[in-house]
Amino acid sequence: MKLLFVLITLIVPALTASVMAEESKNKQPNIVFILADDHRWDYLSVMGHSFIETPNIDSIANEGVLFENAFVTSSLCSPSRASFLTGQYPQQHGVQNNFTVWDNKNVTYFEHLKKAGYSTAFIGKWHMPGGLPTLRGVDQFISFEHMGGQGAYYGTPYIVNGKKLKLGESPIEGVNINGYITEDLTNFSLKFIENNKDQPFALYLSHKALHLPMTPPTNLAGRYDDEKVTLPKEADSWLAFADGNFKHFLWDPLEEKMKDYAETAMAMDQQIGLVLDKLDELGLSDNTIVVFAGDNGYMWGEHRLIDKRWSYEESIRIPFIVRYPNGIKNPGRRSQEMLLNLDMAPTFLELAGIEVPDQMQGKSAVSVLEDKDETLRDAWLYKYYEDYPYPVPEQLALRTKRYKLIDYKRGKKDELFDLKNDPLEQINLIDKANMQDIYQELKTRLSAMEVEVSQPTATTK
Amino acid sequence: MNWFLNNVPSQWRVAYGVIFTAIIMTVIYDYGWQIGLPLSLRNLSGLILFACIMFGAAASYVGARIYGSDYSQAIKISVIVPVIWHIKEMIVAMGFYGFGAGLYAGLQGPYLFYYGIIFMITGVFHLVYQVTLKCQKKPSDKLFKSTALLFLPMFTLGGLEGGVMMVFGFDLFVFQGFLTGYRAFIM
Repeated sequence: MKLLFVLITLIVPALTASVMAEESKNKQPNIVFILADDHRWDYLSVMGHSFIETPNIDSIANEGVLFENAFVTSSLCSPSRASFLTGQYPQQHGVQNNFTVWDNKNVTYFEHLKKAGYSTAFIGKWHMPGGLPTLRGVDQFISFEHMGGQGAYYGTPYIVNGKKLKLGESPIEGVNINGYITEDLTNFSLKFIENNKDQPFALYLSHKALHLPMTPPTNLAGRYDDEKVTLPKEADSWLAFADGNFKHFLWDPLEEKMKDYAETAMAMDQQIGLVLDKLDELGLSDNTIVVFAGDNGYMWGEHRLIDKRWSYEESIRIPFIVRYPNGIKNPGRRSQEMLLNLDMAPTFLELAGIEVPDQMQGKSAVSVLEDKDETLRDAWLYKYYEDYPYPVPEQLALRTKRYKLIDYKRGKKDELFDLKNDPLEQINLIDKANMQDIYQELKTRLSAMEVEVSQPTATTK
Repeated sequence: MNWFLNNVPSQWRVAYGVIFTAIIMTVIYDYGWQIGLPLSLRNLSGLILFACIMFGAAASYVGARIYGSDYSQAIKISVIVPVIWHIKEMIVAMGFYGFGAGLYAGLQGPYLFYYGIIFMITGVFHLVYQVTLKCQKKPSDKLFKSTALLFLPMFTLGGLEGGVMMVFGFDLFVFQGFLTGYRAFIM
């Protein structure tokens, strides 16, 4: 009898745990997508940054897959955000710069998830031209139009499902407004997760951080004041005031602004930690896909430039990290595959067991998550559309694993870089006699790819 | 140096000196890194260049007055530095956007406010110069009117931008109004 009792006490919990784990694997995964604004790929401690502290984002990487070659197909907030949502190039979804409006006919991954029974929420910065959209497939849409959709670090009034709230009024019952936008958006998200813990959910948490004016919360302001910032060799402390850069209104020596940026990133990391803790607390971590990404890169003096937009690596590279304990093989890996922002939507759909629609131009990265020996792509197309009056020429680029060809519409000589031998893109090889075959090959491919991604057959219906 | 003294009218000498300094500093600031100049030197050249752009007009104005220009001629001489910088900015914009859009880019708020600020700084320099003349019991301008005229552009611009923003919630010069004009007349 005693033996039977011992056996039962040992076997029953083991069986229960095994059944629960199996159930969790079979259940549709939850999706938490956290988008940072203007976050460089290397401003993470996991990427070896000299002083920034991002332990929570690091933990996503340590328990998941960090894509070291993740890029955006247009390095500007609005087009990039639309690509994350639709899985399409800007040539298709139509948001080409900060003035071309979002077309409500665009289909986002939310619509497909909703049809598959997901509870959905978009919380945070929308910032696409034309104001807040009718976002089909989203149950809870909390955003803002303050400061032209940019929001402010302190003092942003929110809009919930189209209803404009007063400053300080909370969009969710039981959640107080703290005032610092990164914390507020996190608190709304925590409540959404809590309220939907018993059904599959998809959360899109879109931070204002780290966008200008890069304001950290008061408790972190000045944390990195004593740190030494090393500028790129071509940069200097006054670059923010020079040439067209003054139009970004940074009004600080470059090193000081970079410290503000790092402090703002650390504040966001702390809030991301709260989201991860909530998933743990509710026992949802194993079956939740957590993705942390940036909407574009940011140049801090490279090529004597500040901001994004350009086709240079610092501008087009983004952080992109995926954690999904139930679906990732060999976690803690780093992938060298070239992943694009428009790959995210098809990846989510495939992981949720939904057929990826034809109009999505991105490729699912599930094979990479499963550690299969498959290549996502060997080349891809970048396009920056004219965004008057910013002093940046319209440009088209082809980025392969080794080379980058940049075709400027006007105002600047085209550029060809060998990224293997010249990762900082300092030597333009376009006129070198021994590079002409490669140049012609890349040029032909670039033109073909531009035609391919712009094909009207691929447009959304 | 002799050529400079023999050929450049004395009223223009400070203005020309500022332009020459600004060109040298631009070369050091923009290209110094390519020949390995230390960061401290490049930072210093940046500061001097910035000072030329912001204070060059006021310095040119005082220089012209000291060498005998009257009020209006000194103002004409003082604007040469800001106008050259402004034209350079428009040429950059023309390279990326074409002639018409590049020219229109020169009307963007930051440039208008730049003129407002440099006239205001010139006003402060003028005030100090006139007070000095009065203290030395030398002939001087009508202090209030001549100074107020130099502050007027900034007050007008600031008042319009702030007033329209308060009443209509519309930013007239920096982005919204400027881009409305761009869409209506240039695009």
